[in-house]
Amino acid sequence: MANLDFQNVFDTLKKEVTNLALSTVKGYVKEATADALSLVEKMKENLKTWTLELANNEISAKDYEFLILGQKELLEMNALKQAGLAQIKIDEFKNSILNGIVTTVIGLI
Amino acid sequence: METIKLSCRFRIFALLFVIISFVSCSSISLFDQQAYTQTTSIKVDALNLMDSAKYEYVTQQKYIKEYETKQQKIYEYEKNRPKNEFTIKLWDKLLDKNGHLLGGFFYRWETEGKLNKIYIVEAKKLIDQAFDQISGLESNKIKPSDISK
Repeated sequence: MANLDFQNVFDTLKKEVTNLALSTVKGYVKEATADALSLVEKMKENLKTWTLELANNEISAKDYEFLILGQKELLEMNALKQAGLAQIKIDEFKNSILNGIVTTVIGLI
Repeated sequence: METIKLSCRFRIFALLFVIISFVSCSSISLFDQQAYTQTTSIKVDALNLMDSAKYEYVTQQKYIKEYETKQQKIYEYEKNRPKNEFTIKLWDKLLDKNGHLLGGFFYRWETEGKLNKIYIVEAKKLIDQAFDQISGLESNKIKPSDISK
């Protein structure tokens, strides 16, 4: 077995982990932003429609209030989902680190 | 010399074992096909049942009861999955009787007798998206087969 240059191994791993972290965070932020923006876009349309329906007496003030509050709760659900997705990304990141370490170290044995 | 090599290998394997044990623990439940299928299936049932809110609540009680039983079974299934807190919080939000999503809709239907048709159409759009938050989280969870591939 060749002499293990641990410093080199750790430096390589450090570089790989940093790159992986940056690409994971970048990818996640892009996805989360797109998801939230799509919801906000739908919300904008909904608010216009509901206000018009209220003005035309097609829905009551109570219906309107329920829809507005429901929209708010939907946004809260989206925030919860995003928190869960972030947790998943962390797990995927940990999994990738694990694979990197195993591959690097096994390759040296 | 041979002993030194073996000792070094042992230490590396021990180090790998420790790292694997530390890193490989998931902090959130893994993807579950049954949970995903149940969620998308009950979403269709919920949206169909919401259409019936234009009729008197008492005339639809049989269907409401059937739906609620199915929903309770799914909730119970989700509740017993380990590390499933985010999904449970999403279900709680959706089903909260004091809220304004599905739980609040059914509660309002029950207390008011029947609901306005246009309101039903608009509320369905919100509930549709609310269910998508739950199924969207589930579908993004790590598949058990993807662990340490």
